[in-house]
Amino acid sequence: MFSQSGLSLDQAPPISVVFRFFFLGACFGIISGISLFFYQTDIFDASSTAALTFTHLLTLGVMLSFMFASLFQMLPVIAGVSLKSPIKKANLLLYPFTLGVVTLLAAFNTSASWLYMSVAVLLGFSIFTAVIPMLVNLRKLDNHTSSSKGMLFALSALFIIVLFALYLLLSLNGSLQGTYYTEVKIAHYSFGLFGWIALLILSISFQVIEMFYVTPAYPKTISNYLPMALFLVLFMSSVIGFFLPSIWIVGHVVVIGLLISYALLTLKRLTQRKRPLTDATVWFWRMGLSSLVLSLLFILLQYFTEWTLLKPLSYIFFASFALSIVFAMFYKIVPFLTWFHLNSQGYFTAPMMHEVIHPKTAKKHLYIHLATIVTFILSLFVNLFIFLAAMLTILSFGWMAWQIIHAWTLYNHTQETGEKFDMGSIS
Amino acid sequence: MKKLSIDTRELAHPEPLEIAIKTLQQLNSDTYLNMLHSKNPIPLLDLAQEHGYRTLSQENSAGDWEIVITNNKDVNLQELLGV
Repeated sequence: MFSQSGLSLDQAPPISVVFRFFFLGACFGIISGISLFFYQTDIFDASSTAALTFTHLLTLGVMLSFMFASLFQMLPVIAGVSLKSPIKKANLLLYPFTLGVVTLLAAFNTSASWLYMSVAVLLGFSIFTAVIPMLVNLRKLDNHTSSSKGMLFALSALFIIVLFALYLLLSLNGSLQGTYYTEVKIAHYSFGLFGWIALLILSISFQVIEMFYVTPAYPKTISNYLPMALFLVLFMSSVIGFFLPSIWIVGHVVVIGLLISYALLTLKRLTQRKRPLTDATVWFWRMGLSSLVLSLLFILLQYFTEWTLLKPLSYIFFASFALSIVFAMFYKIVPFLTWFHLNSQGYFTAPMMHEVIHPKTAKKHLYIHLATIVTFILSLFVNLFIFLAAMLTILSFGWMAWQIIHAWTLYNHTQETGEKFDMGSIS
Repeated sequence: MKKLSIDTRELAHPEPLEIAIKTLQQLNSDTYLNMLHSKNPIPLLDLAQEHGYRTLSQENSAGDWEIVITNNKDVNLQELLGV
């Protein structure tokens, strides 16, 4: 969570900014679990309303909320970017964003054109309001790290995704003819999955894998050029795809090659830890990276065979990839922030990190998460398992929400009753 | 002055910070913290300075960072490095 080259404590945002986005993501996760009771295995049919709703609940509601939590924390810290009025900026994003996601889900399920227009306004406004200042600040940086450069590409990808989304929404609403609807849709989800989620995760990993797990650093060629290469492949495929849609086969194969190489390299790095103590977060990373490899292989296999389970398997494993990494980061960020904010305020009685979230609590969540993914896979063979998957999804995100509430309660309790130590008395 | 040494070169973040802050709380005017770390721990230096400590960090020939922190205002920090 720290740049080793220039953090000022003044730049770190208030802890409530980060917590509110984590909590929002957990709430959307619980809602996604509840939605499974209604949509059941229809979510595996990509053309269904169920799939559209469930996918956006996970990618927008859960993942984007978590990623905003990480960005608000990490931009000042990793990239040295100071955001002015962070609480105001966070709220300016949070409320219209939440309303926008809920409206989008309603729009998918009712097809009411005014709802699509409302979504375009709410999500367009909220996401651009957050992303544009972040991009402007990142571009102004004099000394980029590989992580800050990667974030620049990931945020640029998010900007492009929203532009594509606006086109799709206005086409669904009838305001645009939607001549390029199919081409834009492919570019939208390709940028969303690979250009935003995967690119942001790998950019952050260049910094945190070495720091959290004391591994050798990534080769400079990888950390400096992989994010740019991924972004360029997606960008070129999107542009050429308007005239030659089959270019996406080449684009996807290149992206798959790059991401599998990254995942295998990171798995190797995790075997090279100087202190091979294994906590739940290491296993979340291993699970996430292995899921990424499997998901990409299942996508690749779809070009060679028509086995119907390949698509749903690729969806399940991609979700497992993204969520596993988010959980790994969550169990590092929340205890650390709680402990660090209280210590920097001088509280002698600040809880230690393991008291904020005990490592065993994280391990229990790992098992819940693993069981969730397994039951999703089983539901492809026996439909009834989807109800178990739904319950486990609710439990998994409920578990996370409870950890946030617990950390927030401890934080406030220490502020109200804690003793401050006097470090300031120079002799 | 009595040196309180910690070597955190092989510890994963945020353990070095946790150990260093615990040690800071034990410092008095006759003691100082001497820390060996794989990176320059800017957050720790920031936090210590905010609470009135004096700090100095310097990279050694092996590429590790040596850090001294004290709340004694008279001592020459440079002299404590490498002691």
